[in-house]
Amino acid sequence: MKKLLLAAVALSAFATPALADPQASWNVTGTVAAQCGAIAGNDADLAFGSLNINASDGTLAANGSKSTTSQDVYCNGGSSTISVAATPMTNQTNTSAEDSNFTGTINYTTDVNFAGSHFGVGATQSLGAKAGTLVVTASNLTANNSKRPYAGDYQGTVTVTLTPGV
Amino acid sequence: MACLLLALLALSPAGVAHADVLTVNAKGTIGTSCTLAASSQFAAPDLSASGSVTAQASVNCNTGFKINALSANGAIANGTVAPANFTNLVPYALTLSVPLESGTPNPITATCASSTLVAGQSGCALSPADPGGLSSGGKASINKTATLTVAYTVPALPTRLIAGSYSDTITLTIAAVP
Repeated sequence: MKKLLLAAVALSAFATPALADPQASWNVTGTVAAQCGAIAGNDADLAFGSLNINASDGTLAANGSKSTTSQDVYCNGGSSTISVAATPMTNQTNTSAEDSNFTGTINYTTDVNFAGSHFGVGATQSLGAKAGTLVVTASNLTANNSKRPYAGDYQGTVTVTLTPGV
Repeated sequence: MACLLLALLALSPAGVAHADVLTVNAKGTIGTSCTLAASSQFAAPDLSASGSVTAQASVNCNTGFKINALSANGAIANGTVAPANFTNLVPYALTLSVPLESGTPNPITATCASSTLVAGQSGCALSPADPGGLSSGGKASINKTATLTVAYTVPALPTRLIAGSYSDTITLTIAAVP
């Protein structure tokens, strides 16, 4: 009886099933905030200088285009947006109202070239994550209602807003 | 005479003592035992610049052992596809330091790039497919605290990290090597 009992104990020591090697896990988690920024370059004026006038009738002639120097800009979020707003060039020295012959307003076309992607005037345009140079160009100057522009200094404003989003 | 013979016969069963020795050996086996537990987790890394974070593990092995590591992503990673000039990966180096009961070196350490810790890799001591792993050289480690250090490197400009949440999971496996 004792021999049988010893045999049973001996067998039990070898009957333990094999176990998987122990493991433990650690998580490493972090967040990169969405942001947009200008790395280099400054806001610059689009200076057309003295605008060309058709001498024959005083209407606005072709004046080409002007571009800002490039700025290095980035937005790191996939849901980042760009908004472009532009106000017409208005006469700063002669604020007379537009009449049947003359106007104090000159319109223009705005283009924002951000790393090869072009954006016109508009709010909340999809941008995504993008980094590169940003150049603003004004072109195709036209007097409002095709009238003759009053003499004087004109000024408009282009506003580019970059909004980060993850 | 007849009386004497009867007396001898009567005494004979108890007259000679025969020794009957029973020998019992006491035997037992202490099995190898290795356990591993995460005793502290990593703090959230500041991904605005390169840096490091640490965590700790409780090691309890009554025999020699080896440890391998597995990285789920091979880097601290974001699931968003990164466009040009951006990346969604923060590579790191994992250093594991495990104190031993005795021996030299003590503690044992290994440092491996996160890219070598993905499944199937064997290029570093901690690599999951490295057969030797980080070996204790036959030494035990009883209730010791091991240290894990993740030294991460953010990309250099002009490459940037895309915004969002980044993560990786590091799994250590310990195996007895008597």
